[in-house]
Amino acid sequence: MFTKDLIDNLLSTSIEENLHKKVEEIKKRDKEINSFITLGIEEAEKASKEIENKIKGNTQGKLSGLVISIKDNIAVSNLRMTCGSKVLENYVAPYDATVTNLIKKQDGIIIGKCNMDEFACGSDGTSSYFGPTKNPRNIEYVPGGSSSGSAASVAADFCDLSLGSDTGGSIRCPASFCGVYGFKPSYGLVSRYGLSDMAMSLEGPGPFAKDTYGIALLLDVIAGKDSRDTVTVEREKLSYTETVEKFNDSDIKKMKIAFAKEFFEGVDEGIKKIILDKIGDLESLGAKIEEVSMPNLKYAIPIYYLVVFSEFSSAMSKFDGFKYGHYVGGQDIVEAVSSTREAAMGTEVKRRVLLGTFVTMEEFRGKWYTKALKARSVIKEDFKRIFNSYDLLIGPTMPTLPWKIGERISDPLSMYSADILTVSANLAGICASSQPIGNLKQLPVGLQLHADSLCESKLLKGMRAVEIACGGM
Amino acid sequence: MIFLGLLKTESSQIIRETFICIFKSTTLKFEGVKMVETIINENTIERVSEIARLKLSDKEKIRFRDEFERILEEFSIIDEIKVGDKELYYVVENVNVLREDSSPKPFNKINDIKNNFNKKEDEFIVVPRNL
Repeated sequence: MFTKDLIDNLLSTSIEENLHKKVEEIKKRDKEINSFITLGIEEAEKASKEIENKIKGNTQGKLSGLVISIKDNIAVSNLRMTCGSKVLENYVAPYDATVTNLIKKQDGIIIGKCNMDEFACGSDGTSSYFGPTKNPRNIEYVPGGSSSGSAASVAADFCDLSLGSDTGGSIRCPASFCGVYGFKPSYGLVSRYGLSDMAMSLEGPGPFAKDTYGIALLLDVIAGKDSRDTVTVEREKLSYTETVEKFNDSDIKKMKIAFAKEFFEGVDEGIKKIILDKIGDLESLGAKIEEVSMPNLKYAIPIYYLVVFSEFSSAMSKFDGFKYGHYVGGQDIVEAVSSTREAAMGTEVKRRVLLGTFVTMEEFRGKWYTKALKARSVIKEDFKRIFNSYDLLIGPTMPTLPWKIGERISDPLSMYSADILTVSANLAGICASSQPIGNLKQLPVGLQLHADSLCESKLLKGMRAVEIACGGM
Repeated sequence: MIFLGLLKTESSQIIRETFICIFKSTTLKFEGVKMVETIINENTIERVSEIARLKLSDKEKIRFRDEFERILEEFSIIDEIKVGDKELYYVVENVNVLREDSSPKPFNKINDIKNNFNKKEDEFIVVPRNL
């Protein structure tokens, strides 16, 4: 297992050397890839020395000096936190998010804050105020979004692990496009305290890694109840890393995996073939594979976006320019706030704020927002029915390969449609993952697995099974 | 209605906007094709912009109005879904968690918060006049 071997190797060699190599790579290549907005090299070097000493006394935490990047909507004390926006261009976080704190406690070295679509509003990593992130697999192509820098920094080997956030696919989409592992935990498993909210009922932080073990390791560190986030719940008692380590080939025979034809409708034929071949491999290894139906998937995009617009417009109301962030000023408070927001917000952010305001206005909310909330139950019921009989639901992560930078930026509907296969997991609050299983036209293809809410260990076993079906590690 | 359909394909912005202002029905159906409600007129965009505290240029008003119609027209597919009465705001049930009625531990890095203020005088944020 790549990450496990890396840790064993680090313990016997040098944490500082590993960090130094990453920093050199960043200096050499990140001008082009643009996966970081802010680097914290000095702090990282300081931490690496401390962890090196802990290793000598065998008192190091679970992360043992692995180098970790963090999406720029998650607070890291005393580092700039921009959310990819001019709105927060100069904001310095005064505290650590719960997940940041947990990473520091377990001796992860935080190297910097990652580029992202502005306020997580985007699916391709091109809407950041700090310029687009480029796909390390081919820099002419988008890396996916919104956690573009997190995925790109792992793919480019600028770090060992990364932390992103997923509201409707923002971890899984870039993981798929950049050819790395991404994991969206169940809603409530990981604390959102210190995560700048985009859509509070849908989102949460989650890990990126180069293998299933790396995902399990970071998840072990960040999962669990937090008194500062009241929607968090108790996690399964078992260790996720142990679950992955103990899994062996014969366990695949116990798995019941469903696939829904609706998850393949409109999907690129080449991607479809790669995914179906892998499903065939799992079946050959003994997994029980059956077809099910997900009849309401076609409604997932409008339901999801109507909820997102509404929650997002509410979340953005705190950005007035007075307490923090970019400020323009004006004759009175209303003018000062309106002008500040006009000058600092990007087009997609404005679009969502306005649409969210519109669909929640008294005269329109019944037709749009309330209807979407009622329809959300329908998606949840679809998954519930499937997970009553199956451990996992399998399919592609994205309907297409990454597109060229700039190709979709002017058409919001085309951008929204890219999320068709990922948003339903967020609507239902279940866990889902993406992992690379092959290439098409020299670009990575990601396979998506879903498991029921708080069944992370089942999902990790599924990821490990696919890893084995891909030949190993 | 026929004009609206034709004008949509011809993208004649000015004439189309005039027609859009005339039609106020909620959902139009034309030869089996569902069309979005045409209530997004200039006044609606103005109102939304005001409520959202987000100033828009004239160009943005036209652009967003056009886009919003297209987006909502596409999204009106949700009318097909048979829904119950339950509005699903959260997927977890424990949203109201009570804590003991005691004062929380004070945040100890007040200066870090103040350093982010844009305009300040001593301990206070300076904001424009409100009256």
